[in-house]
Amino acid sequence: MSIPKQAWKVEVTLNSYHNLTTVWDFNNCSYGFLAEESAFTFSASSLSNLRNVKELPMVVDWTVGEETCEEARNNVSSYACKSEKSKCYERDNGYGYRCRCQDGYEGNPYLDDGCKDIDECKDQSLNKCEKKCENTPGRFKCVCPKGYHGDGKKDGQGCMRGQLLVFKVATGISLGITLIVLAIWWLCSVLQEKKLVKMKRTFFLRNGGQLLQEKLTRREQSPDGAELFTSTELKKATNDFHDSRIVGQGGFGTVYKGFLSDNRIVAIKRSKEVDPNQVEQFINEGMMKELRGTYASGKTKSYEWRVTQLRALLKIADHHEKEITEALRSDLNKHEHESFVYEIAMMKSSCQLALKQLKKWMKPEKVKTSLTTFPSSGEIVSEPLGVTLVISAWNYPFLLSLDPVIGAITAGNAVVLKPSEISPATSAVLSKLLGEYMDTSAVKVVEGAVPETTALLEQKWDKIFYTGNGKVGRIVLAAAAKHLTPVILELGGKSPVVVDKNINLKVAARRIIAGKWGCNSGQACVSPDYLITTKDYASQLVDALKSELEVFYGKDPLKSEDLSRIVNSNHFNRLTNLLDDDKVSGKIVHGGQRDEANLKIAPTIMLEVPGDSLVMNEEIFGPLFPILTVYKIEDSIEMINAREKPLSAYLFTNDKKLKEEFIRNVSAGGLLVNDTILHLAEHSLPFGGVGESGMGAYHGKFSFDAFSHKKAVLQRSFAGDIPARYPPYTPGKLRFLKALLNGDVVGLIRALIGW
Amino acid sequence: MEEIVARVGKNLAELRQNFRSGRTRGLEWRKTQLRAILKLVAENEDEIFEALNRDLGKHPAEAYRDETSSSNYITESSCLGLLSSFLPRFMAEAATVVLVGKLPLLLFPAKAEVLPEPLGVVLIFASWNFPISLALDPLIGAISAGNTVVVKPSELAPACSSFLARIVPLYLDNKAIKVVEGGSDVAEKLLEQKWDKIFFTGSARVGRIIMSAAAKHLTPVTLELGGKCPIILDSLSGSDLKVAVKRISGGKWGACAGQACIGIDYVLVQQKLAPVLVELLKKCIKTFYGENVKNLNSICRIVNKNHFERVCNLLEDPGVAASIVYGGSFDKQNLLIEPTILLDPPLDADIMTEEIFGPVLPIITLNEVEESIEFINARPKPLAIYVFTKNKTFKEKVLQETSSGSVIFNDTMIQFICDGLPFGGVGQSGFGRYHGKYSFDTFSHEKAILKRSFFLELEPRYPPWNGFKLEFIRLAYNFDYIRLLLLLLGLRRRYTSRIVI
Repeated sequence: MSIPKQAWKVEVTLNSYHNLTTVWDFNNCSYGFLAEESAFTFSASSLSNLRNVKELPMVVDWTVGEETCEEARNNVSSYACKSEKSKCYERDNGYGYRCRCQDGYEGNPYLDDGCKDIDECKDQSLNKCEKKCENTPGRFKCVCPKGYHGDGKKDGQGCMRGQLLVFKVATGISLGITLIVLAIWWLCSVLQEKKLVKMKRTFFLRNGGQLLQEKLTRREQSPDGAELFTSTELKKATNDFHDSRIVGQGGFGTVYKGFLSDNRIVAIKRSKEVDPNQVEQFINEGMMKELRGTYASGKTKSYEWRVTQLRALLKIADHHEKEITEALRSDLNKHEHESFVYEIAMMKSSCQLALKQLKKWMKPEKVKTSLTTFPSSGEIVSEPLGVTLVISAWNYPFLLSLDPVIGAITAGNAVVLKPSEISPATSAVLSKLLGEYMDTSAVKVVEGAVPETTALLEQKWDKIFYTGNGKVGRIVLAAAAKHLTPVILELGGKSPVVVDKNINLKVAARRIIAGKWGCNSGQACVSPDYLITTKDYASQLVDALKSELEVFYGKDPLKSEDLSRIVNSNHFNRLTNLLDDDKVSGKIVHGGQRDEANLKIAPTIMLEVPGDSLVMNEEIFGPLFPILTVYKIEDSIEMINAREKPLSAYLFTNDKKLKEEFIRNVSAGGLLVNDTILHLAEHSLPFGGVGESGMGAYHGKFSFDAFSHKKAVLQRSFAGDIPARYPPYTPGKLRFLKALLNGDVVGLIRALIGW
Repeated sequence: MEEIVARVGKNLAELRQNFRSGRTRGLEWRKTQLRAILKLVAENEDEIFEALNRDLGKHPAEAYRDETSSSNYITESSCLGLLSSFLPRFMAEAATVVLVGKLPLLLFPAKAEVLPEPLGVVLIFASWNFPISLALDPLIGAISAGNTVVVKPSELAPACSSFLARIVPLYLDNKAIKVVEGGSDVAEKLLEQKWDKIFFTGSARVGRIIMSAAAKHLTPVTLELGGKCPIILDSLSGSDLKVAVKRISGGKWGACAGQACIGIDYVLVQQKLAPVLVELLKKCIKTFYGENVKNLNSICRIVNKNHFERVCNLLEDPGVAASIVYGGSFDKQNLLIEPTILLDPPLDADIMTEEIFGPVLPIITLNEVEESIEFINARPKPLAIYVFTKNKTFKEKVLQETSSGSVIFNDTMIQFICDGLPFGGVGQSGFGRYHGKYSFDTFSHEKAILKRSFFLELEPRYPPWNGFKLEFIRLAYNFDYIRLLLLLLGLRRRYTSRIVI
């Protein structure tokens, strides 16, 4: 039987209970012993064989003391687990405890420092490291060599080729930064390149590149004439303009020796400086050819093209109002209110009208034909003139540029606009916006001053539209004569205002001021230039003007934001000369202040200036306003007619007869009764001068007509031939013709039946 | 010379004075003068015929048809028939519009009208090929518009020139209408003066001189020039072709022997049709004008020796001489040139680059008739294009793709007498137009008139400006009356710095 757990004492006693009579064999020894249960199994033979068995195994279990680990630990002196790296454990088969070394240590736990660290790395069986093992007290570490990652254990991940995540992230970030930097650098260079390409493209186009390119593509087909090379070809030929290829150096450029791909040797000159005159010439010629090409393609003739271009112009006005008003502010210190009313809004309404009416305008007009040409039908077809030039002025640089352009487009022409160089900001804005929004193959802007204009005028145009002064108008006309180009001249002149008595003086004064000073400080072609009134009414009128001026511009008009400045110092000096003229000294009844730094001149009224004063002998085009007096208001008509015909004439009156007389007898581009300037906003009225104030008219349908040719078209059938038309001529035929052409039916019949 | 200058100066001062006086402005004066022109032509028919015969060898029927008839006809119908009813209307306020609807609010209420007014003192240069009608025709326009006029007839038609100088003062108001005779020296002096309009009929070369001179005084100019007017002959057959050939022959040789600005210069035809055309033309010439240069009838002579030699020189070019298929002979004594047909002369020869202005008709053959458009577009814009075709799409194509003063389908020359149509060139063939109402317009300034009353003032028109006023104007211009009302009622946010997107 087995010894039960927690047994303290085991006693073995041997006894015999029976007689031995029934014993078959007998061994006189009795055995009693302790042995391992599994080591001895009792059987019959054991009785006889046992005497030969000398030893049987037995394991003796033991513990320290009777306490539990916990209890023992309290008594440090008797606590058996002396070694630091030992631990106490309790057996389950009785009291007391035992000690053993902690995992990773071996030795005697009952001695101080008895437990020693096991070096697992020395014994391959103890560690499962794949590559490298590192021993640590109590345990070990598997390490992966450089270039590997993982836990290093054979039964774990092992060591894998590659970097650790941290390393990866770090590398990633630094790589990322480098990449970003690189990307930015690349982007910059691409942008730079793009800019360069764009610039090259602009210059290419401006210098007639389109034409060159066309020629290049056609190079194979036309072996004659000059050969064209691309810059790449030239670069290749000169080994990228290498110094070794330099043959000579001149004032205008460097000459290189070049080898063409077909082994021809050529001299290549690389220009150093560009002669602006030549550039202009080249620009113009290249541009003209492009425009002619576009026009010849028939693109501009279509209704759709005209409409898209007009819409694009509207878009310019809508989307860039701020940009435009700012440009006008910087050129002329024009208040945005004035800019909107007189420039943007008017241009927009022109555009809108054209969009609405264009279909109607383009329709051929049927006409009646006569008996002579019977049977026939006639019509008038409006066709575009071709490539047109618009030269505009600086005082309304936006409106006066785009209004004629609208006309040219509605009529289906290609057009070049040359804005005035005196208003450079608006010129630049126009050039930019038209370049962005319009079909640049047919609508172009050329910026520049006199040399550019001269170069432009040398070209052959199909129509020139000029707004400006009579002096340049003459030059334009003379230049146009060379090519028989029809011209429209919108000039100015001294536009008079006649003020009669018995009118609503306050309203008249306000309207005069709005026209004179409210329109760009008198720098408008239709501005009132001088005023004529009767002697007895003059002082009342001056008072009214003075008080309304103060309402409009305050006590110090030089400080008013609402008053435009003089465009430049040249014009400022011209105007101050008019003011300083001896003949008008003492005639200034209001204003006269000037601010040279800001180019401002206050609204100035001069009363009774002499006819030979400077101010009465040129167009004033500024805020000076001479007042002349007559005894009878009717005398004003003669006074006006004694001068060159003005662009407009204004009359303020309630007298019907005077109105009638004024309208009949005063010759001017336009007449306006009881207001100023507004006739130019009315599209059903032609706007244009007569005599010194110009020729030709525009606005609304008149703009369309100004840029159209009215082609007469006559259709006949093959029937209805009159023999009398043809030779040999006889008296009978003559008689017949006479009757026919006179519409004399009786005579016709008589001629026919031979009377 | 001094004398000329003085005379011109004196004449001009007188005319200007008379214009100022308002003498020519009245309807009655204009009507009287127009009637006088009618009378002049009617009473001096024989003399006109004789003068024309002397200058150009024109047959009376031709002269009647092209010369007196046109002026007569235009005077008859335009001057009296038309003008008696139309002139007052032309002269009246042509377009009176009461402006209420689509008009910037700023203008309300207003009334607009266009009033034609005479330009002043005008100068008319007539040419020698139709020396009477090309002098009287513009004159009618100038008078009907109420101008005072100087007419300078061409010195190359001296008989007609002196006839006009002699007869005009007898019939017309001598104080307002003058004829100045003379050569280029007189023309030069005339051009130095300040005119209110110059009307010129002639060549592009002189046209340039006239325009340059006009530039000095900012004088508007009407230039009636010529150019190489082509005929496009589509493949026709049978009677149509015969009619076409008749009309071509009549137009080419019947109108002053080709010395007309709208005369036919050359013919464009399909290759396969060319031989037929040449045969038909030959036949036509024989019936119309006779066979031999000695027996020519019903055809004008060349105006003078210079022009005769010029035309002969054109024919002397060896390439051109080789292309003659009919005619080519001339009578130097009588300045006559036989109707001549050329087949495919070299295109770079003078005869195909200059206006021929003589009885020579080059025929240019093409593979397809559509090629004619390209052919014409490669040359300066002509005064007229004549197209003989029944093909509607081709007609449309010609109309759309070519540019010329006029286009005539299936006939020649007749546009000149159709006064409902404007007559005038484009590009190298001149600018400005006349005939009928267009003559009146050419010599008038359309004066724009706008009448306003004192009541109803819109404050936002006037400075000092502020956001409210700007927004008001903006809405008024956009005809946005609802928002305008809101703005006025103070219900709408004022303009700050809104950018319209």
